[in-house]
Amino acid sequence: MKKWIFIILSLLCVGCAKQEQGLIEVSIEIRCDEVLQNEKIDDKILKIQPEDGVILKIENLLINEKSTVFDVLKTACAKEKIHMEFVNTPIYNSAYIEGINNLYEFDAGNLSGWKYSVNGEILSVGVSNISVKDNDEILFFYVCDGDF
Amino acid sequence: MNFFRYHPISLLVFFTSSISIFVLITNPIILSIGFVSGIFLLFKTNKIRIKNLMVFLVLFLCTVCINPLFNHKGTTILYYFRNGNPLTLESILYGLYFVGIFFTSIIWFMVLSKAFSNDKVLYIFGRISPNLALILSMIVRFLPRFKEKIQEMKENSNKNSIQVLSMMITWSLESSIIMSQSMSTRKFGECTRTSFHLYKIKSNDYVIISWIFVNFMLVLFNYYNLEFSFFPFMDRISFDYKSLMCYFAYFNIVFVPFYCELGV
Repeated sequence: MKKWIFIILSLLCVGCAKQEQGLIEVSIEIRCDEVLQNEKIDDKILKIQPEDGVILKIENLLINEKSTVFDVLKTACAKEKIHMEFVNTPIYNSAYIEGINNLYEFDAGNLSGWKYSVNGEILSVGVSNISVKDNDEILFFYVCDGDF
Repeated sequence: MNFFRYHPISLLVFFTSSISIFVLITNPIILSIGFVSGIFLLFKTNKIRIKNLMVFLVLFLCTVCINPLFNHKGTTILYYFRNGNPLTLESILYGLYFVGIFFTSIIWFMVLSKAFSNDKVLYIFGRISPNLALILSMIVRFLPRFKEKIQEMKENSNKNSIQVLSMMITWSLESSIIMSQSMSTRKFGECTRTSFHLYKIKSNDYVIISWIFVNFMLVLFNYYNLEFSFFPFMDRISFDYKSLMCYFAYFNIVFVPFYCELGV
């Protein structure tokens, strides 16, 4: 009998621990301003981009603690029904964002693609390797002439 | 078929123009015209049953299923895969279109192999590159010959298939040596050779070639009107007067054999 009580109690504790893993609030924005003035880009792709350059903007997205930047992007895109494609790169143990809203890498020249910043700081680490904190501001932006 | 008795050059012009247009121009209407005429020609020339074509169906189904797994472009999201990439309507339709091109070209090449007998191939390529023509005709002959020989060996011996295969390899090596000896006794490659043929360009051939040429040019110059792309969203199929003219011109190219049959 003692044993059973112990097991139930410990199970309850585990359940509580899971519930305790709280939600945090982050803001995410996806912008494609640079591409709007670009000449290399295909007209059809340009047509489906927003005129003000803001593809997505969520001020307070609730997300699990210990989520990565990639999780935030995935959740936000699925929530707003925005197209997003990625590949997993096993060497870097991270996802690579190929295209958002049908705007793909190399669409505006050889040095174009998606970059991201957290709180205004551009990090040179894979998008799955950064975990977010409360009130982080995540920005994904398209660059036409990126540098390394 | 009546049309296949025309001069090899006009056959060549007919096949190259009709196949190249539907392969190079991405347009559903063009493809479906090519498909329908290809099916007509196939049933007119080959004794083939629909059952035989079903063999390809499995292959095509695989292609249709595989394309959306690797291609996630497109604006219409239907479903999310487990890893998070979207399944889009455009990629499915593009897979279908790709299979359409594949199937149509298989049909057309089946018709082509009926139309071009060995001596026609030799006649066309013989003057440009005799070696290529010889190799092509040898390859074309080799496979059925190999098949016949295997059948013969299986029937006349009680050996298992691996032994038969080893015998076949020995036989093919031996026959190639015999062939090369016979070629060297006939002084192959040491003097210019001519080959016998009975083909003579008639006025009908000129008519056909110029007819196809005019229609081909019509399609070629209005290529931009016909352009159709699947990504990121599907275009509308254009039906303005220029593209309608192109569809009609392509129709005129692929239905040349039927015009000949009707005696126009």
